Amino acid sequence: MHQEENLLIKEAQNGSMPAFETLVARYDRQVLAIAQQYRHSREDAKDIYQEVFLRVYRGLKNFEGNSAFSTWLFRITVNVCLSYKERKKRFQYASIDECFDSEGQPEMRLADMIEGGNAADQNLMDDEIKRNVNGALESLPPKQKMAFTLKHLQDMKISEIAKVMNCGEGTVKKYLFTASRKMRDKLKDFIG
Amino acid sequence: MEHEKLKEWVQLSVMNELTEEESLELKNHLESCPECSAELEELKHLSGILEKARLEEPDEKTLREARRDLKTALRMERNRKSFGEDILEKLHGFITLNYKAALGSAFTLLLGLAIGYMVFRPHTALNGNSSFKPAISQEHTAQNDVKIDNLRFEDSDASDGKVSFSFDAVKPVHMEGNINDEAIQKVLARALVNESNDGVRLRTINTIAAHTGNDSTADPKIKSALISALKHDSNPGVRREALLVLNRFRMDKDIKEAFLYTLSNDKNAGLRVAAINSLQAENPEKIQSDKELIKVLKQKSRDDQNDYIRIRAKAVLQEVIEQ
Repeated sequence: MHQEENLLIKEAQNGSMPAFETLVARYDRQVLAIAQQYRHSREDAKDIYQEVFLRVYRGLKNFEGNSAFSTWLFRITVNVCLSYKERKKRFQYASIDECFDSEGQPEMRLADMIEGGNAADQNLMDDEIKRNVNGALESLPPKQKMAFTLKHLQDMKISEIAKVMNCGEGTVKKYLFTASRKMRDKLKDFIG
Repeated sequence: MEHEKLKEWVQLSVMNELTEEESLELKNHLESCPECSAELEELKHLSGILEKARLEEPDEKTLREARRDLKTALRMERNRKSFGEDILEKLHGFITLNYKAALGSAFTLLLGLAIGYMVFRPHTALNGNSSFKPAISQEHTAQNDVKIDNLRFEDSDASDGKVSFSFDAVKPVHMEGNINDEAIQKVLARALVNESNDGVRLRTINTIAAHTGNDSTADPKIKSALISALKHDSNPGVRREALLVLNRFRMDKDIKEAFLYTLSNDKNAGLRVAAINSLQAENPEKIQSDKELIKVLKQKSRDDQNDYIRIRAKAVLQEVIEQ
């Protein structure tokens, strides 16, 4: 795997687009997932995805292999996510699966309406939980939110998170513990 | 071991970050420490909640769109690169030539650079205030960034050495300018109505929306394009976005008529609900005096296939009656 990947990287560094595209296809789903989980927006995630791979394309010739390619790639992803601010106030591209009431709050899934039935209580409850978890995540400072996303939504090890966030494991633990305390506080109604 | 350290381990155990030995040590501690046991239970609850809220992986459509956009961006990046490399090559050639020859060919080189720039430049930059010149001359159709489409032979018989045909030559045009410029608005409005790509139409609406304040007066061209999108776009997502932007404008006769059209005719129940919500935002007294709106609401409260819409229509009517 490493050998094959190193070969791909060398070919891509020499200008081979198929090699570059193979590298992209190997990791791009995860890059998009991190971006989407961090931003909660498909449009923002697509913007981040593009920026990440353009930076990889431009910087690949300087990649010397001091870290794994994936670590370098995810570090770029983290940096782009953390520095991504604009479009925040952009008109949100709402999912067709959501329907909004006059205050702009999702109130019922469109799919349920199309079927003409009532949304199951459990679905409504899950939506409520999702909204509250997203709200709680949004209230975290960016680095805590990123560490929390990578740990709890991407199942990364603390050692990996430290590498991609370019900090020590102790710092990551501090981010995670503080984030966890805040999340518990915000979600206490659901924790019971 | 310090209790604080063990409390930290409680958190790490929920994150699957403890070694086997550490897990065992923690287990022994938990048996005699109600505080840490309670902490563990609470963290497990939080973990369960996070699991429920775990976002789904990006869907295939989003991934496909992201890949397609990246390909386009990379192509532009490469075009930009090759233009830069071209100049560098020419400069390198210039430097290595002997002085007299260099002077002699300086003019030719400058001319070459100017032509090279015209030929390899990926986009034609237009200022929003500039006049718009979409026409492409015959020699420009050979450029790399001109897309040839819909070729139609008028004379395909090459026996006399000549052929004749016509085709659509599409050249990407880069436009930059203030969102309020008429030329920009004209292009956006046309894109909203004519662009075949759903994603582009959505992005066009997003762009318009980003610069639309609440309760603002709509530009007639933009309003008309949004209304057209709301009524006729084949993609419900585009129709929905158009409705949400129209919501931001001050309600007028055209916008109200478009919402009524959606409520009466749109096959998508979610959009019909959104239309009711938008119409309900009107002053109840205004609704009361609007015979057309009352008629549609009554009809919807009776006949709509969707339970929720019937209930919403009834609720709005009830509210109006109670006023």
